[in-house]
Amino acid sequence: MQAQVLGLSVDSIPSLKAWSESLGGIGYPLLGDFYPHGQVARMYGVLRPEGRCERAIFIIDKLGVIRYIDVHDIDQQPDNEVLFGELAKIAGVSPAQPAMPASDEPDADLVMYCTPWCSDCRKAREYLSLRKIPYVEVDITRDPAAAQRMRGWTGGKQITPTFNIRGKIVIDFDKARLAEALGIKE
Amino acid sequence: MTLSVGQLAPDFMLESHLDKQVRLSDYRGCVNVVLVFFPQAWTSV
Repeated sequence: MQAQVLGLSVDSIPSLKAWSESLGGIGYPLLGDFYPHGQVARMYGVLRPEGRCERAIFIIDKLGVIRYIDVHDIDQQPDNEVLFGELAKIAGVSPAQPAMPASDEPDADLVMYCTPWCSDCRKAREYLSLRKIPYVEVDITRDPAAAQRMRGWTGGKQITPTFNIRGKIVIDFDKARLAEALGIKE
Repeated sequence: MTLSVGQLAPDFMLESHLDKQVRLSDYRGCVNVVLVFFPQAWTSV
């Protein structure tokens, strides 16, 4: 069943943009119910007295009719990651959930740290496959320990793909530097 | 005001972080919509 996910909070657009980036990019629209503050949340009866909204899910069918309402207490589910995991499931993308046990660095000549949605990661996969270069891929959205390692190399930022070639780190899909680190001709 | 299942969802138009205006009624006739309200960005960080 096809569905459009819309996230909505009383945050401003710049704040939502920055937040989305910090999570590696959110593909569905995050709407800013910012001005007039909380207008839509009020319309849906989920604006709290202090100006934020409840955690609430409304499913609206193709005719515009509300089919499902789920309102959580704001304190009941204090982790936005949980919400995003659920959202991601509905949206059919890989959830950013720390479901896997902490991992060690894979024992491989080339390890690529990536996310399922990053377009440079896709290009990097094509680049490596074309040259028949074996690599091990680590999805940092499913492996918090790996995400931590990657951030250790990038100065705390989430940059994908990031490569580890037996200790030589190449940040981002930089073909020249990658070729150099692999000892191949570009 | 409290909404309940079976009612028409109130229409709205808001800006999104993808630099697009989104109007709820634009999805009518096309797809189901999952509208998720969340309290605040950054609260888990």
